[in-house]
Amino acid sequence: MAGQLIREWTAIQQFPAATQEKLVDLLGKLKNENVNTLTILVMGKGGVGKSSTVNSIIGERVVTVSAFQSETPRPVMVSRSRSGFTLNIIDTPGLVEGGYVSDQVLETIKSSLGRFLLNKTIDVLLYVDRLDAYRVDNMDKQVVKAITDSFGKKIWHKAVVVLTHAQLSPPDALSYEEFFSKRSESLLKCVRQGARISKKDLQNFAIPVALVENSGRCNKNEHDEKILPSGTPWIPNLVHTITDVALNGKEGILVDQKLIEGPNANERGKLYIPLILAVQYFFVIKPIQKWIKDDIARETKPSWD
Amino acid sequence: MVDETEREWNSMNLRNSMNLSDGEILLDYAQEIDCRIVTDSDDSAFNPKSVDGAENVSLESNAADLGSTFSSARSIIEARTPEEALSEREKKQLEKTKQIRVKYFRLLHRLGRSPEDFVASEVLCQLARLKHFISILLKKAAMELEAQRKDDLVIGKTGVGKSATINSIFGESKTAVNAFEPSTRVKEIIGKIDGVKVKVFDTPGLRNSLKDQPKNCKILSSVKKLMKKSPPDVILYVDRLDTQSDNVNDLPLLKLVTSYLGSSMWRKSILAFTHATSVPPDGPDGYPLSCEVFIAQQSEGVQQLIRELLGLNDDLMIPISLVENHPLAKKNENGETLLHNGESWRSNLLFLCYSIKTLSEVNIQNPLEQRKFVDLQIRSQLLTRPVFESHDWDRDIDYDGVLIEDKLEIAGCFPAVISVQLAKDKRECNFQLHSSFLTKREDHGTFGKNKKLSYILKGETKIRKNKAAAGVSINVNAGLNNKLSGKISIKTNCSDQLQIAAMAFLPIARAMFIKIFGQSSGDY
Repeated sequence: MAGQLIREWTAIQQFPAATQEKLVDLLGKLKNENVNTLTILVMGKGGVGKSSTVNSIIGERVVTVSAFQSETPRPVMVSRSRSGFTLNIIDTPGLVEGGYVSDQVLETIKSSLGRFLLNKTIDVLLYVDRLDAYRVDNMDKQVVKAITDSFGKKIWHKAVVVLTHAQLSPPDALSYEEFFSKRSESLLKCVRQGARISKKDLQNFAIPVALVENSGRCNKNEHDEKILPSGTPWIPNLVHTITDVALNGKEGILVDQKLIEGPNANERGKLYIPLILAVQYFFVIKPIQKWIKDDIARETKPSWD
Repeated sequence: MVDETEREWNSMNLRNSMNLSDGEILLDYAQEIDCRIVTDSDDSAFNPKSVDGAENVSLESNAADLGSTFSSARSIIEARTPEEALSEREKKQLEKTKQIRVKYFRLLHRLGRSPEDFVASEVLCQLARLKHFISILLKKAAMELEAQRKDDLVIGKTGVGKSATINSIFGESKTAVNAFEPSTRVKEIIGKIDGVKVKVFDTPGLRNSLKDQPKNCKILSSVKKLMKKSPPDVILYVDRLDTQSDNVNDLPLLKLVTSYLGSSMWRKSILAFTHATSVPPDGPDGYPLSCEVFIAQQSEGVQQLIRELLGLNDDLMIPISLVENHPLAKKNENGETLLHNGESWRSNLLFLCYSIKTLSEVNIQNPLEQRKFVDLQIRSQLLTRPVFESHDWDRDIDYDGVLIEDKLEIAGCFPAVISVQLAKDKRECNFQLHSSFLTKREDHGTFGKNKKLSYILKGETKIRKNKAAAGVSINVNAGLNNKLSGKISIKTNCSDQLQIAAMAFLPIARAMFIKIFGQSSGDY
């Protein structure tokens, strides 16, 4: 799980030279803005490629990936440092289990965050899904809703939607760009609905979408960088998007005790108590007392009194 | 009609490279089960001889070495020919069976398959196993060979490619396909494939999330109504090959489907995996898995789920078909889309459908003497596969051993599966034998009860580091249908002294077999 001793990001060496350069540039940009740590949280349904993406960013197989078995059993935090800059990535298990969003998984994630990141901030959320899935349904909305409920709506200011399996031939004779734009549009719509972002707020919540291809068969360009079907090398592209979001001026999510434990049910509506008491007193108790007095007054007294 | 058939067969030019083993298997069934092999009369080789009015038609022509074995088989069969004449009904029944066989051969020929194909030979064996029937309701008096019809039902999750598969089967765009919008109603699609009228029911996709269960229930109840109105011959359950088989997530959906459509649906269903030419993902060592392993793992996952649902241990093997609907996939010169191994998936799928339909027709005919047979498998008899096991501390999924399975027949009529599992470091070896048998007899005697008798025989031997442990268990269930049922279960277990266990086994087994065979004589 978490290593207390933060290791050197040696795996950055195994990227091809062009990619290395770009990555180092981006890290430099972050340092210029006085950002010395970057914490990324990776979440999504099961089987979409979260662990593979983490492995691709770091450059080595830090998280186990299995093609068939159920994936990461508990959250794993990977930390690497390079020339004073620390990168923390937290890989989580899939949120969907057996047809519904698993509360147990959410609990494990929150408690692990409590252990790794108490009083630190989450800078970027990577919401991962597959490019080659064709339907967006209630399940995705529920996943988004669960993330929003756990971390607050503000997390979507700092989110990037990542679409894996990007190297595909689109069906139905659509062009790649068309397919990609349709897919990201439907997924973003689902995120907006699940997080209850109103139409007015849309400008605030412009969530970028990044494409990723984690398999070994990814096409490469002449510099030996892994590229998307459109020709752009995707690793620097993804890290660029992440840094943009990290530097977009909105604050990250602070992982404090309140977040971990979740909202306290006792706190809900506490402010209304005096108001309700006042209403009860003035509109219920007083009239009833008055009616009782009236009744007593109207009562006919018997003759012997 | 019969002459036409003979001519057609003689012109079909069956290869005489039929394996001796296949021929032997057919013969074994013939001899032991006392069935009638319907043998062909080749004008040159044999004299056409009719046994009690039934025509003889053969599977083989011009095979000199097999000719002698066939003639000996024929003599055995003739020797066993019952003394009494075949009743009119029996003749009709045999005629019907033969017509089904003929129909099947014509289909095989149309699809360019030979009878030696494993699936085809299984079907033919089943057809050859039919015994005399006592009383059957004939569904149709005459069957037109040309009016063959096939009804299919296609169900599956949403967005997996059901409508696209239907379009590909027909070879033309019969139904609208959209990458992003699901198709909304149950549609009936009729068309002709190779001269056979095919009707397909396309259904809207099932949703995975629990919140959508009411929608799923609605869809499934309308499918059920459809099934009652015109029962399908084949049910295609469609899923994607390249999504991770989240077995836990699929289980509630499969449960729902089984509860609505009945667990018997799985006997006539085919698992269709779309996106079949997608490249397999990387294995634990970073290199892509081989296609066979990938396909086997994915399909085995779904099969396992279905077996669990139905409560069977190992007996059900649902046939699998791979499908590729992408317009840019590789095609052969006929324009048929090819899979990775070069086969055209469409003819495979059609062939499986016809086989299932033929088998189901056969089953309708003999409800009385029902035997639980091992269902169609699309693998060779001897199955070898690696066994994977993940070691937690290694974080490595390594192959742990090799598993070899084979089917055989105990005492000539009880099907059995024997499997050997050998660990990688050869320190551990498991032998397992599993055999089960179920028979249901109806007695028209004074009791008039249904008697049900089944036995399951399991044997296991484990050898580890030169130490041996052995165990045998026999379950015998005998039941009468007014709920007087009994169960006898015998288990023996022993380590290090195999001889003791074996000695205990013999008298018990003998007593059991006598009991079973004693009841089979039917003298009640």
